[in-house]
Amino acid sequence: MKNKAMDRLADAAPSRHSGALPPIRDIRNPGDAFIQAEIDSNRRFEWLLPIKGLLAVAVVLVLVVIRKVFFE
Amino acid sequence: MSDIDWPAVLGSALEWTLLALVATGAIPVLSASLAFVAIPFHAIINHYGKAAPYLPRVAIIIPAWNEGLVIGQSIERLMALEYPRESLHIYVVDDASTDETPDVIRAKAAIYPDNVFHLRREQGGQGKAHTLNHGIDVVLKDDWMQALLIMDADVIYMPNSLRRMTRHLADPKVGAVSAYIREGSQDRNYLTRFIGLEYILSQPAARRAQNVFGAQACLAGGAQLHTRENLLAIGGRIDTETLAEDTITTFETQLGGRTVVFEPLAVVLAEEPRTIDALWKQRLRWARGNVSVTSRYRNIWFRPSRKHNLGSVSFGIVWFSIWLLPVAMITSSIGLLGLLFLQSDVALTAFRALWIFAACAFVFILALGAQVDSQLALRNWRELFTFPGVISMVVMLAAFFPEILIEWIPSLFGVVFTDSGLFILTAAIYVWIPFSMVIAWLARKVEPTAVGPVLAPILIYLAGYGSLLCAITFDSYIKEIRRTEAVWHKTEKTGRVSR
Repeated sequence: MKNKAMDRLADAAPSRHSGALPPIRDIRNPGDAFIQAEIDSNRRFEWLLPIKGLLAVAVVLVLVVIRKVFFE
Repeated sequence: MSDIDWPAVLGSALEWTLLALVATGAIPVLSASLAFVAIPFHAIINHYGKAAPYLPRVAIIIPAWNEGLVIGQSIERLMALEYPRESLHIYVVDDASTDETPDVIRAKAAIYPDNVFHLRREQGGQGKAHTLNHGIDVVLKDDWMQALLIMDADVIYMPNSLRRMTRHLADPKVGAVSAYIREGSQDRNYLTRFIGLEYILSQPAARRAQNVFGAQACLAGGAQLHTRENLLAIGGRIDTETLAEDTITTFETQLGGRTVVFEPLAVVLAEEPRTIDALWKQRLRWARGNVSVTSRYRNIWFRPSRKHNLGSVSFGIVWFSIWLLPVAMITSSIGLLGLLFLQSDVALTAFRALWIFAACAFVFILALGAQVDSQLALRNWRELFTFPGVISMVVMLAAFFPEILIEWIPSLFGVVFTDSGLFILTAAIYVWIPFSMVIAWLARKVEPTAVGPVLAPILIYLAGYGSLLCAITFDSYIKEIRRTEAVWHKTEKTGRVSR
């Protein structure tokens, strides 16, 4: 039976977010070029982490500012 | 000597002691914060630079005891992996199953005669490690296997997951690779949603940090890939002495100077417990296993080594912060209560400092964690907002915005706190954290009763999922002190992940 969540995950984030990968001729053995491109793509994807970290810090700062402005 | 004001000296000493107790509550928060601050550095400190195209011959060992409902689907998913089929051998070690497991495996072996193999143990029930060793003995008999994947019978590998794991083995320094075990039940309930969030925080978030620190605490039991060399170096066997064989394997790999890599983008779906009782048994097994790991490796903690990073201060703090979290919760509350009863001026300051820090840390951790797997976090948004527990969130609110709880809300009902009322409220807030573990324990007790389906989730939402895990860890202390026999409780799997 199809698992929709799995199928969504199958082509999940990394490759979509970090540029196109070479076409696969054989899904079971996609070739070194594809695998290396996927590694590079995944590596670039990790550069979103600092941005996500800054966003998380920003959420904390909002709380701190609210406290400073309205409760001190 | 006679000039010394002994009551004042003793009072001051007691106050400092109580303050030190309060400070113990900050250690786990600090530890978690440091780990999460490290996550963005995974952009720079990761293993992708040393990864390369590499598709070794992989032997997959699946321990199976009465897994008839799930094993067929798991094999099919493995056969659908984006991986050369001629490089896959699947060994299902049937641990004397009494259900239809052997029939299902034989049927699959008939369909895939070059890939699926049925290994039968006639004397089963000794635990997962013994079952795995039965399979390992077989795969080590010849030279075919270049890498060994150990997995659970119920997990489902995403098509690209194995390929994304093996690429790290191109680096000869890597001994093992672990994947992201993602809660994947289709019929989710409140508990599986909490577990899903916990797994986000503990795997693609915290294990990225462990990649940065250069020491992994544990390879996922359902997704660990070893090189043949590593398997042989750790003795060609899985430890059978403890209930934490995955952690032992992880430690032995790193102590041998080989790297363990966590690959966050290799996703494996797993079915997790739907009841508190099942979760309690599973986590109690893990917690008791960690006690033996802590004891077995007592000579490595906080002793930095050039060979591995398990002895680093950062890793030690993370390890013991998790293991001793219930102790920190209790000592911190004792400190706050003591200061309150001493009528110390610093009680309120210490409480606010601790809880404001905790609130900021929680918000940061949850905000970052939610972005790491935003799809799952969005799906579980109710549990995301109530992860620390509704009452703990009120306590944080009281620390962060004291006027709201002390003045605004009471004024809505025309209530003004008297001094004694305020004292009782403050004391209640200070003891809440250890008391939340009691609430979590109560949730387990009411779960099987007629009101359980309604009351148990309410209690967990109020107490917090973290308090439930702490209560289980606390139970492991009791079991260890009483020297209760450590029993292998198999977590029941019903194939929910594949529906």
